[in-house]
Amino acid sequence: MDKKGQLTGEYLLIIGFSILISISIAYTASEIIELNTCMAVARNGAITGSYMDSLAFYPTEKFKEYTDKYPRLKSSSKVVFIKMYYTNEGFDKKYQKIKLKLKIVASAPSLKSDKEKTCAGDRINYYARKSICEAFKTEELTNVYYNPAFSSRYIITTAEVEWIS
Amino acid sequence: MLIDDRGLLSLDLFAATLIVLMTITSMVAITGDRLVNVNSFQEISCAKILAENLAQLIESVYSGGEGYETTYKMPSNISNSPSLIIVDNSGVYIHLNGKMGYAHLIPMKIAYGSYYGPGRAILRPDESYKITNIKDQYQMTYIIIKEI
Repeated sequence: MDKKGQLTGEYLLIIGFSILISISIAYTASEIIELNTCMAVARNGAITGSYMDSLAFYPTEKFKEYTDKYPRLKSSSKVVFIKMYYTNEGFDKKYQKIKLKLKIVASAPSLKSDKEKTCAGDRINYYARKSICEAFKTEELTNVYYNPAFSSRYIITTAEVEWIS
Repeated sequence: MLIDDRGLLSLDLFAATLIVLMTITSMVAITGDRLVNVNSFQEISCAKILAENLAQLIESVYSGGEGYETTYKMPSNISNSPSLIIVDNSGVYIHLNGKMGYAHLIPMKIAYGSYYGPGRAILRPDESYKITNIKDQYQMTYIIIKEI
């Protein structure tokens, strides 16, 4: 600033340029941070789901359904979350957000039938989606199954859990 | 120094503050979610252990033979939530916050109160119960659960 209280043109250019760069970095960084948060909370949720499956502790209606159809699921079993990854399915025109599909890989050596594994996998996926909606406070945007889950920029669905032995 | 002699904040500080704030915001969401999950897991683990312990106690009364008895006190809550246990011939069922768990029991006849016959016992928080191995007039073994 000179003695007359005026800023130089160069200074204004540098400041302007720096602000533009800062804004673009901030936008990119916030996008990456949001994606990172999505994946972290989904992972937390998936682990919670696998705990529920392991301890065989379910919502009352589901418990009664399993008692009738899949009595094996009443007892504890070893269900372990292995890993999770996502695929970007592009921009969703309906929701105006980027669509991601989560794929969770888990292991349940004591569950033999495919239907039992599907039940256990549905719970893992449910808690992964639920965690995302709770972290981004978007519960009111989705349905009771939190499907799809929403963050500010993303719409997240889940593929069937992949089981490895 | 945060502010220079002319009262201007440096751009570096502005950018650094922005990044720190964004990181903290995302960390809050992740740690908050993790804490909720850990508490939920602790709650259901305690409930499951409670059901398994009671099942083990009932089985020890059964294997103790006629006349064997013990007392059991239900906890007032599990992680500040009241729980309810139902025992019948098929096992021990625990209800907690709209969720349900199960502990297996070997096949045996369960009766509640002074009624001799297959039934189910409902155990409520903070109540004490006497669990007794009794044979009826037909020499059938019953596990009687009675509130005391």
